[in-house]
Amino acid sequence: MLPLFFAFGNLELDTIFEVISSPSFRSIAGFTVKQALLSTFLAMIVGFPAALHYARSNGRLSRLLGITTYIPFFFPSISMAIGFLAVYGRNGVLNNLISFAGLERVQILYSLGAVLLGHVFYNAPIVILVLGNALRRLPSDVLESSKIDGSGRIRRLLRVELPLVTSAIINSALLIFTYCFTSFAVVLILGGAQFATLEVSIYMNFRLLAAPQNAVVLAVVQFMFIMLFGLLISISEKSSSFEQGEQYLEKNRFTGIYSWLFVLFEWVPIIGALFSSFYDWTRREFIFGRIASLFEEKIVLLGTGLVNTLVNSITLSFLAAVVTVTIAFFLSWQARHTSRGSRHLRIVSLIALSVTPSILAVSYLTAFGSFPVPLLLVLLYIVISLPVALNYISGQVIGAELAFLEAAQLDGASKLARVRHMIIPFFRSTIIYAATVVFAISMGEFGGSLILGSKDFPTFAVAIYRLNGSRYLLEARFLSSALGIIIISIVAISRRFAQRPERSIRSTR
Amino acid sequence: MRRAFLVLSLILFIPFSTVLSLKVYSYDSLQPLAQETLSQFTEKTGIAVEFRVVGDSGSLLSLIISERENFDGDVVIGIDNLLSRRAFEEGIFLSYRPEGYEKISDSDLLLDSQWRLTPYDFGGIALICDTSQMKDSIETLWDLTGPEYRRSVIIQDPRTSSTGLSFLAWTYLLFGERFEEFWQAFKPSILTVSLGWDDSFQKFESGEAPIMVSYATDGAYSMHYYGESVYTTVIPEGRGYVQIEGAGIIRWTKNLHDAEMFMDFILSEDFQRHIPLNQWMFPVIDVEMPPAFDYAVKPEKILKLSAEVDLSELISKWEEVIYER
Repeated sequence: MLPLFFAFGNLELDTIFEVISSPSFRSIAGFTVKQALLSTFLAMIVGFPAALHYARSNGRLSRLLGITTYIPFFFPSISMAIGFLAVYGRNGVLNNLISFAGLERVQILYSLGAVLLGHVFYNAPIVILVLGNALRRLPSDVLESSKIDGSGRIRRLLRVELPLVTSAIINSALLIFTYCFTSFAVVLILGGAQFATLEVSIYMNFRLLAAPQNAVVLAVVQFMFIMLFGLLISISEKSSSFEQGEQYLEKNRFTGIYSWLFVLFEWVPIIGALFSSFYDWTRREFIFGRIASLFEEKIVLLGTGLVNTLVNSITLSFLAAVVTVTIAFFLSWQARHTSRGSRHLRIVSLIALSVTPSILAVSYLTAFGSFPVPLLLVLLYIVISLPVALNYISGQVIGAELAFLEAAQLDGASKLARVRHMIIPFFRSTIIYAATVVFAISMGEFGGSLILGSKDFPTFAVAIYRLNGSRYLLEARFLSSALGIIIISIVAISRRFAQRPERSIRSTR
Repeated sequence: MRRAFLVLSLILFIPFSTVLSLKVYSYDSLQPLAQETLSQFTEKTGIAVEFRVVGDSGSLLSLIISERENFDGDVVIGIDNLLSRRAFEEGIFLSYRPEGYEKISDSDLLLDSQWRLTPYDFGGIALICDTSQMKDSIETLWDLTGPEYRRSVIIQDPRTSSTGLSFLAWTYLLFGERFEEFWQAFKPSILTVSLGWDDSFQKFESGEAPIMVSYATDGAYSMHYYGESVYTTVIPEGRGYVQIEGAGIIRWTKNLHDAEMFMDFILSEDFQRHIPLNQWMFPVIDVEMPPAFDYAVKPEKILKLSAEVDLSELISKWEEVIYER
């Protein structure tokens, strides 16, 4: 975080005033807020029926909705944006279906509507995750008694369920608003340069317009905004805890059908991009050979080979995973022994949450311009994934009952032996899952990597972006979709492993 | 002994050649020309070239300005007549008049009396239209402000793309005081603002919009690749704007001799004759033109933006219009 304050501290008042008073700044800031408000509203509306279904059922569809909640956190934004081009483009899957039905093709992309559609796709699953889980945890006896008292489904929802989860509603809305406010790839790719948000403007000023001071001013403004949202989220999270109850199950045909449509809406751009790109209809050939050759040769556009970009991404993400999990575990372990531990962790999370990849990248280059780019990338990945790792690991570590450690200590086991043979094996699945999550976030990170490494050290996500804007369009679509699916699968598999052993240990205690 | 000597010279030579390779930077869409010509340069001179691309030329210039002496390139290809102003203000190029300069076909093509940039190609800015999606013909740029063209045109960002900046200058030359009025009226017709020409053309070719700001030579491209004029080139009212692209030696180069040889090569026939079918622009020396160029519109008159016109002010006005909501 130090470079952030260093970069901010170097600003001159005149520059700040000049940037803030320019008409384009007011328009960009205004648009950033407007699109974030609209996106949040729409994402809440679209996500709500699916969240309700997720809360009141536990079948296959509910599990599918659960996996869908991985999309906002782990599906790379670049994969999502390119998937949208493949599905909603003028010659995309949807328009081909419309044309096949004898109707006129529609122009969906490169509009405010496209930006909103992208944000709804990306953020509606957050409603399931936050609000759906809150509804799920409502004690079933409360809902049963309300039903016995004669409350209908809608009345019960409005009078009993929603008031009980008000904080979850506020929390999910604030979280979505923050994500949309700092949106980068969706706005840049689905909108175009005419729809610049603050985050996009930071990138453009720093990398494309040679105006680093302007970029830093914009970063300061954005930082203050997000810090404020973070504080609000933090307050709303604090008041959202209530006793966990047994899940109340209730069949609802409407939310069931709606949820299937929702799952389709979420997965079609991901699967569609893959299936619409493995065959080149213009040249009448499969593109696998072309993709293989992309991995074999040096691509001038990237300044290196695609294999190198993949190796870059995997190596840096792996390093970030190891370091972040170590830090998060250490902090969580310390928090176990202090009365204010959780509060301190919350502050660390809040600060880390308040910086976006673009802000970090700009401040790193301003403060540590001479440092090697790979080092700056690893630092960036650590900071952006720390809140998630900290949240998960502290949740597992702080409340865990570890009486056997005291027994081992009495038996004379050294500290190192306890860590190596008891603590690490006990939290193995937690550590592996958290590391996978950090790895996934780092692999898919785009905005910061574009600013830091686009010239000398492109990552795989940056390589896909560069290929997408060139003659390698189909290859970019295929690779982006494959990357997204691989990342989601790794996280889902890791989650399954993470849940098994620990739940069984805890249930026996 | 001879074998040992050979091995030793190989060991010494490999790192030596790596260190001395000439770094040439350009924009994305220059790749085909580079692939066609750079190996010939290496064959002729023995100088290895490392070719790098950075988005569009506006972004490339910004990169050089922000990195200055830390910029690792020796030669830059692709700074046009408008971007050259900022490049000269920033003092990033060395003066060098290449051999063969006297073969340049028109003195109006010269970018600078001090030869900080050497012109290598030129072409008229034009609108290209997908005839299969167009109903009416375009007579003037004002036609594009009509409701029938709503969300139909792909343009480039003048802050990052030389094509975009040329289009902006063209609209200023055409409309003068009514420049902002035109952009206000034209705004609803813009589908998207791309960061570079490559990205725009990819969107245009995949059918996202029927009109794109590009070059008057695109008719030749269409004829060459599709055997018919799929794209119509339109220069409204015949009053076109010409973009001249230049190359220059970076002030901080450590490879001055090799860089000068490369600049000589740029004006040679070996480089110039590959321009038409790779850059889809006109070469600056007389070379045999491919038949497809019968379908290209060659600018007869080279219009130049007066040096008194403040480009940054034009861009600010453009920003105000585009970002106004």
